[in-house]
Amino acid sequence: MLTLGDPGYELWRQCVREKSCSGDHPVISRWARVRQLRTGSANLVSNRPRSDWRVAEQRTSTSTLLAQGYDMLRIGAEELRRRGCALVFTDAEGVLLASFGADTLPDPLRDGFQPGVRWTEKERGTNAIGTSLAENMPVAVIGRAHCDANSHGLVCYAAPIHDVHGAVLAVLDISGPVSAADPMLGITVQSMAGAFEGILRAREIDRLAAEVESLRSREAEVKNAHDELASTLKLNETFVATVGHDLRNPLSAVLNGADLLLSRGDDPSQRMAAERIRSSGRRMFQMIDQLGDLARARLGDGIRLLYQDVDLGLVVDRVVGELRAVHPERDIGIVKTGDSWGSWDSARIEQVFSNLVSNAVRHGAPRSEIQVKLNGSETDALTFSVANAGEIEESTLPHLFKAFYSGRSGRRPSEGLGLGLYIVEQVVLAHQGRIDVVTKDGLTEFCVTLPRRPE
Amino acid sequence: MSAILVVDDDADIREVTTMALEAYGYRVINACDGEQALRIIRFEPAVSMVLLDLMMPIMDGPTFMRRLRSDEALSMIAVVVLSGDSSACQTANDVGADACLLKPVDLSSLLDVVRRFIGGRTVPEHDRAMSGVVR
Repeated sequence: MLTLGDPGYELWRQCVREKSCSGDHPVISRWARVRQLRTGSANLVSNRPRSDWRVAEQRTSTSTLLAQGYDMLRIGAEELRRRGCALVFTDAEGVLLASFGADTLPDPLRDGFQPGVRWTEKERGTNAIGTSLAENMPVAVIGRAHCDANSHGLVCYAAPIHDVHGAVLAVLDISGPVSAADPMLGITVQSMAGAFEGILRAREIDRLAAEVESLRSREAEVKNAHDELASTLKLNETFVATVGHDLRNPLSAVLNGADLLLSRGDDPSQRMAAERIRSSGRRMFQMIDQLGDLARARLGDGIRLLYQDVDLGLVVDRVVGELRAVHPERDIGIVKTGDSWGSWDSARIEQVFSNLVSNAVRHGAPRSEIQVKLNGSETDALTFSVANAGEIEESTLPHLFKAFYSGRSGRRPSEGLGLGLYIVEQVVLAHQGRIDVVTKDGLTEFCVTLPRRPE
Repeated sequence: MSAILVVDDDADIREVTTMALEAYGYRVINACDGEQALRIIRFEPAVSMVLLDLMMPIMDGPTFMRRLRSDEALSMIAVVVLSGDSSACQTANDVGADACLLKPVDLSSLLDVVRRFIGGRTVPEHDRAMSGVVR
């Protein structure tokens, strides 16, 4: 606690009244600060209470605190009254909000202790409440250490009350006649301020507990909403997969029928119709397969693989051979190097290669060459790449491997569902591989890297 | 004459498969579930090959397979599973099927597999590996 002892009348007169003083008394620097605050103003000391509405407003901000500590103040004030002292409570601007036992003070002193009076240094010079606010610490001001001559008969002990964040919320002050001066009063006021801070901490803990409770309940709500969405999504995808699966049987019958007509029928128009049935049926099957793959990839268990030792060179030959047969006008070149044996799901890798080469045929520049390369020169991994003339638009690149992405906003590709590259990537990832795409200088190349023996 | 037993609960599949195989001169018998298939096999010694669907009412494909494979007298009958997805082919392998065809099965693949197994199995061991998945 900073104690500003009585410096004697002479020093007060020189410094406060005549504004010219010297000496090393600790109060001198406080008086100098007050002089700066009051530059140009002769005498600002006023016992005029602030307006009722201002007091009411201030009370609101600290009213809960005051209400909660009111009994403590009342009981403490009874003991202090017996010692001829008053106990007051101000807000953070030094405005007196509650006062106990002011009537015990001698008549000229009690005027400053009515609610609404402001005890800042600017208004009342050096005083326990104002200086405690200015220096943010407990302060004792004795007798003529007060700037205001009317307060020279007082000894005041004040301590600020801080909120949980350390900001000053209020000030507690014990004031009495100089004859009542006692360091115990300084300890008392600090203890009572500490008790108020304890009330604030308890309140903050309650608030935080309520906040935690509310966050928990919000978290539970979010989790419920998430679970509900996840379950709806799962239901949708299970539905798609189930319907897709159930469509296979009737579609198989349709295709087998078309096959039979094609193998046995001689009528050209019937054969043409059967060919149409077969090609449309196959496209439907491809879509059903893709929907099934999408559901498998998203339903948690992922795309299941059936590993076996495979020569991917044969797979590439088969894929390219089939596409050359369907697109005899396209020039599809194959370059194979190194060892193309490894352990993969042959049917799935064929699906990947077939999809990438078909994409090159479909989206590459017409009549340009398509280069397919299989490089098995590395020991641990093998790369498969497909390059074609033409570039992919930059805006399309980030979405290339997304499900149902058509590349042309608002329109589905006429060939399918927009799932091809999504499934390609899922199959490659399931093999612990990676797929990259480079599109520049008029060329586009997809490159798949597969570990030779995934773990 | 060796006969092929087509076991499928889908009548269209049974009929089209039967029509196709008969068109190529094979003798074909139908069953619409596993239980009916077992009854036919026990009374018709000509059945040397079964084309089997997995998901069927009354008795499904895997149960049929376990019954068939546990009967020593029927151990030479070849079974080819016709299935909608590759995970079912894993099941087929687990229950001792000889091959698995993924639907849609085109006519040439069907004829290939029939030619391969029409005489029945060549190796009767119960635990031999499935000879392959045709996609």
